[in-house]
Amino acid sequence: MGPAAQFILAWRMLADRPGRFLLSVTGVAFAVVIMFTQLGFLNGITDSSINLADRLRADLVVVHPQQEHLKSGVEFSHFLLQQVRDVPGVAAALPLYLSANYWANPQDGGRNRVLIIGVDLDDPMLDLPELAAHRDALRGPDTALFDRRARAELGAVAPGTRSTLAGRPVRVVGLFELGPNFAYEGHLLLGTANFLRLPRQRPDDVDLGLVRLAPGADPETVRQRIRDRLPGRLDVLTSAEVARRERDITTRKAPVGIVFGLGLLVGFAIGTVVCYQILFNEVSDHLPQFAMMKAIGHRPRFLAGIVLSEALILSGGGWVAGLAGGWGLYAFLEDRTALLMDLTAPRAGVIFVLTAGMCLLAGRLALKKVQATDPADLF
Amino acid sequence: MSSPVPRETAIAVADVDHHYGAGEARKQALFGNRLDVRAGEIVIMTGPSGSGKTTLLTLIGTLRSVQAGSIRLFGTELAGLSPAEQVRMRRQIGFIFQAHNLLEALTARQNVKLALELSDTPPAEHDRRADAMLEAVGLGHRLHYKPRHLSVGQRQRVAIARALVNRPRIVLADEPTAALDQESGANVVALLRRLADDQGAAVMIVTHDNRILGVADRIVNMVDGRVVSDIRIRETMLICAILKQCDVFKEMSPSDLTDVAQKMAEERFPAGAAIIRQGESGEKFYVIAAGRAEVRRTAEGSAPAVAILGAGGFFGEVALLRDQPRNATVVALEPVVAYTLAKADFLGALRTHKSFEDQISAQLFHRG
Repeated sequence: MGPAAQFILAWRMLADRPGRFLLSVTGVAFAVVIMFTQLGFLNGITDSSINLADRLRADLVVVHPQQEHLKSGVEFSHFLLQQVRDVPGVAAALPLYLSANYWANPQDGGRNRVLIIGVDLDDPMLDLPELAAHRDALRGPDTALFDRRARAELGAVAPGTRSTLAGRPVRVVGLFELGPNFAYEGHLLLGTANFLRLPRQRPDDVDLGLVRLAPGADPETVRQRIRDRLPGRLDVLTSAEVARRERDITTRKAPVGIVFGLGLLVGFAIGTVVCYQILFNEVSDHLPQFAMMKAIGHRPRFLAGIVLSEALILSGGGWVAGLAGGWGLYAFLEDRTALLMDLTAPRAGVIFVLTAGMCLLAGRLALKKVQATDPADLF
Repeated sequence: MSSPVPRETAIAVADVDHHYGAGEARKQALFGNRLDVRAGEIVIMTGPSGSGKTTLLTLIGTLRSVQAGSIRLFGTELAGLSPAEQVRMRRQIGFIFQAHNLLEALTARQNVKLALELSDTPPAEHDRRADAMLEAVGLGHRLHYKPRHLSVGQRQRVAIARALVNRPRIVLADEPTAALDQESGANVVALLRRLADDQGAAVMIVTHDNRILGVADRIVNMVDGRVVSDIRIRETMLICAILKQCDVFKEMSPSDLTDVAQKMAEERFPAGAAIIRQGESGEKFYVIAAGRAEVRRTAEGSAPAVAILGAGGFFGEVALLRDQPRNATVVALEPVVAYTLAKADFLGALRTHKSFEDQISAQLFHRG
């Protein structure tokens, strides 16, 4: 008698009471939606946190050794970047400037914190296609590209909109897409020349040095050469390492990541309790039948198979229902928070594993009651 | 009266004690019980609640572990079996519970198949076997009904079909007819009787239902954890019928006859075996139930046959009455089934029944 027999039996036992089954699935789905929401926030934050790092198209990135992440504002001298340029294998080393400042809502004048990015217009080493389209316009004085996906609080902005950035007038010449994160409501993209016109910005305060390698140069070799040339004065990372650093900082060190990670755990715990309650009732109702099956010679493993199959069926049903709920919720949250809420297949898979895990854990607990039944009590 | 076919011992209970609880609360439920049930026998167990009959049934059913003593099912010792071995052993047993414990989610057929899946029956046969079994309990028209759409009696019959579908050699039933009306109860009992007769199953039924006592081979009564009486109903009736044919017993009242019969034990002898030998001391009185035996008396070196005894024939009383050695040898000419009465019981019956004594005296006179 294979596992199929136990699965079919489990299904028949659950389906025998459709009303109760639906209620149970709803209970599990509730926990699934909680987990989806928490995972959504967690991913939304990390996805958003690496939004800029993700667009870097440099072969290597040099930063100040004390810079923990892109927003920490630890800068290094342009002079060091020039020395990087002289390292064999380096084709180009250009500065990327970052500055947090305020943007005035053009409609109501409200101030919002944005991140201003100053790029080399000729060789930005960023994956932002809109940049090339507006390159010439951005050479004009006090011009900027505005993040289309910035929060609504920043106001309705279209090409031609005029407002104030860091206390200076600015004209939006086009839009690009990046999206907000937990630190900034939106982003503005400026050419280096315009960026350096902002208050307190000096060419020497470079945030990131973007390095392009000469064709055929080995990144590891060049990385080592830069380190040897400027020992202890610069860190050399790859674009992927910058992204990983951003993600780690948000999920492990920043409170938001911990909060939602914990939320995920709480969702899991709630789901386990709900699922246990459901399975415990299910098992309790069938206890004499389980005892009978034991008595007539079904192995403990067979009974365990039935209970765990019930758990799996519940988790499957709960997951499908929860997925539908999660989908709607993500659309709603993305609309309201402008955070990236991507329901990708791997993430849905993670939730399925968690759902199955919580149901199986609950099943394992409920199984104890089955194992404790004494078939001798039937007589 | 056909002679009973020799049957092996299906259930052998020896010196079984059982305790519940531990420490101060430890309470003995069974005291040194002995009980043998042969294949093909139906044994009804009666007794007040708390008398230990259920405990004994669960021990025989391998639902509890044997603590002290020995229980053998067709030769397999239950004491000391591992839990996995206990589970395997239980598959050989048909259980009929008072509460039917059917799975509500399954149809009658699916419920019966739940037991079939434990057998070696090829899966392709399952539907057919289950249907045939349900047909046999009169539910051929209810194969696809779930328990909630069946009457109480029908549910019990599904449970019985489940217990019997694997043709178990041992059936343990707890009040199988309690929920049934007269007719259904009679059907169930007839089914159990057929299983015992045709397949040599040993059936133990715990019941208070007087209506089904007639089906039993034996009635075992338990009180306070002990078997206090073990009445072999069918065998007793058989022995009485044989005793009735003997000249010496035919004047006895039915109740005296029953008393004698109940004290008799069955013994079997292969063809050619000496049942008693001349010169040995006499310990038993013999009545032949089946087969023929020859009486030989040795005198001056030769041992001529002096008589041939058939069913209803008896011998061995002279040595008991006179307290002398056997005065003849009795040899089985063909397989012989005999019922024997121990000397003390024989003399006891003699004393209480005056006319019996007269008959014997007359007999002794004739045999000289």
